[in-house]
Amino acid sequence: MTPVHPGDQLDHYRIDSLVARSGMASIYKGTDLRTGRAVAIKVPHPEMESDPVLFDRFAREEEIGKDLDHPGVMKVFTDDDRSQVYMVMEWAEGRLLREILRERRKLPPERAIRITAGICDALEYIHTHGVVHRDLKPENIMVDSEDHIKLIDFGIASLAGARRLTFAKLSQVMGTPEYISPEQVKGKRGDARSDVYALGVMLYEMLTGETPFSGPNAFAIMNDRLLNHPKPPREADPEMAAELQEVIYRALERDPKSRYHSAREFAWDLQHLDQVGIAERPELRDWKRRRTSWPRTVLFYLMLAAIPVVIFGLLLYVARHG
Amino acid sequence: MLELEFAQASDRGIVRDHNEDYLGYALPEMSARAAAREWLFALADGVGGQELGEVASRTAVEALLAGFRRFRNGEQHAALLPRLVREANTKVFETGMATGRGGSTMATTLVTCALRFDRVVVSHVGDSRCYRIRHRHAEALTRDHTMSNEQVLLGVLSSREAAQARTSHLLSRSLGNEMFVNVDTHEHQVLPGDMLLLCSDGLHNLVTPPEMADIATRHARLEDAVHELVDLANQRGGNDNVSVQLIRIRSVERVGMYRGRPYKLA
Repeated sequence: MTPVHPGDQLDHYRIDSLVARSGMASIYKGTDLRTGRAVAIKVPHPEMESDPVLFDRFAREEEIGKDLDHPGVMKVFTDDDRSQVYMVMEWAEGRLLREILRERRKLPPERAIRITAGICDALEYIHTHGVVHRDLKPENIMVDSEDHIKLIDFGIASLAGARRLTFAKLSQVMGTPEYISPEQVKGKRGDARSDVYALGVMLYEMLTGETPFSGPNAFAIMNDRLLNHPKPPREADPEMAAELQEVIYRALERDPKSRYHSAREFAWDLQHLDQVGIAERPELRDWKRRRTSWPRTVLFYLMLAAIPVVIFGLLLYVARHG
Repeated sequence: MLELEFAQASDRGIVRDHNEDYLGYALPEMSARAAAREWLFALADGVGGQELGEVASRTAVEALLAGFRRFRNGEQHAALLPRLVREANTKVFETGMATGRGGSTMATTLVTCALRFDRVVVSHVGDSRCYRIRHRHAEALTRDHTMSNEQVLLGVLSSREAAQARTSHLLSRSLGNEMFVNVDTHEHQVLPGDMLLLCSDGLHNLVTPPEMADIATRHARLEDAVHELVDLANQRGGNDNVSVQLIRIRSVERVGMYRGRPYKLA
């Protein structure tokens, strides 16, 4: 595979400029010389060819992209044969949701709801077409100046094909630790409701400026959502409507059966907050009680260390009062 | 006198086109200083694209054996073995970095056991296992380092959920991924007639422990048992490399310990 530089021509596309570089590919802005239309061209890094996991991911992304046609989903162009492996997508003006969040940390509720409802709409479309994103995060969402969104990057590799992997590839095969759903952490494949969960995490982040679950490493962050309850959004922002908090909790239900079953239900509640009933939630009270991911052995050794102290204390007591 | 016999086999299976497993052993040398009769067995299962898995497993086992042969000063196996495994990790890590593809590119599991007197010390990293077969019953001496297994320990998964999880082949620890590795080491007593079975996941994914115990004890010649185990795994799909080391203890040397030094028991 030959490296690509701005100014080069790839088949009938002209490469104009480098836009972004990710772990697996470079994205260039280009021009389709037949139509004059601006396109985004994604070229995998040469070293990626040797990595079956990443390559599989890239192939899947193109396969999925070409079946979808929705204003909220990045369009993928497939045409004729190509001289090397790359992907051509429509050019979308806008910024990544991640960049917006990095800049302002928190978004006003109206804007957060507008963006979330837009993502719901796109999710509902892909889910009814049998596609589940499985790796939804602010890095994968493009927002334009009028807050219209576009889902990009449908490339999470499926674990099924991989024989065996080490922890170094944890995020690549599992999903992003902050946004992954509890059932995916438990080793299930995940379905439409997993995307609803990831969107719930993003809504939480847009409103409070932080993600609900944290930990010292990817594995700990993933397990945190199965062990603990997040800080209630209204603790971070007391001005938030109780109904909005309830909607976030419904999207973040640990058990997918109690979660919103579809993105459409999620969007409907968001747009009709006045009709949302507020449930009595125990996690509002006991979210501070942490189940740490410490092994129980630590507690065991602490108790063991306490034994001589107790004995010494007893001896001291007997000596004083005996 | 610790006496044992052993047999080993490694097969690439039916589906894979190369073998990423690697086996090795060190025999007690016939010299005055080797009077203690020490044996070492090691089995590694490489992970990585292209040929790198093979390089990783070979590097790990060779480094371990070289370290074991170099040492001859009566250090306790329980301290020596994890140190050698960590050295092997460094070696694999450096080899992986040297391929120059950015970051560490290869990794391997490793299970190893060292025998002396009437003791066996087992160290492992990853999901290759060691079983002890006693009275026709196979008992695992190692616990796989996989993501779903760690989650069972955390109380996040039940063991039934863990068995079905798609993360059961995601290694939480392996040699070569990072500069440092945590090694699990345990010491066990062995009795005459005990058997030790080291195997890669190609075997224990397809053959149950009772079947292993049955096949291992049924044959008089260990070679036959080893080949029957490999054949059985291949019959059931053989979708991975299959490797087995089978060790039968003939006799042991009973020793007691006094101030960290062994003395013979009558």
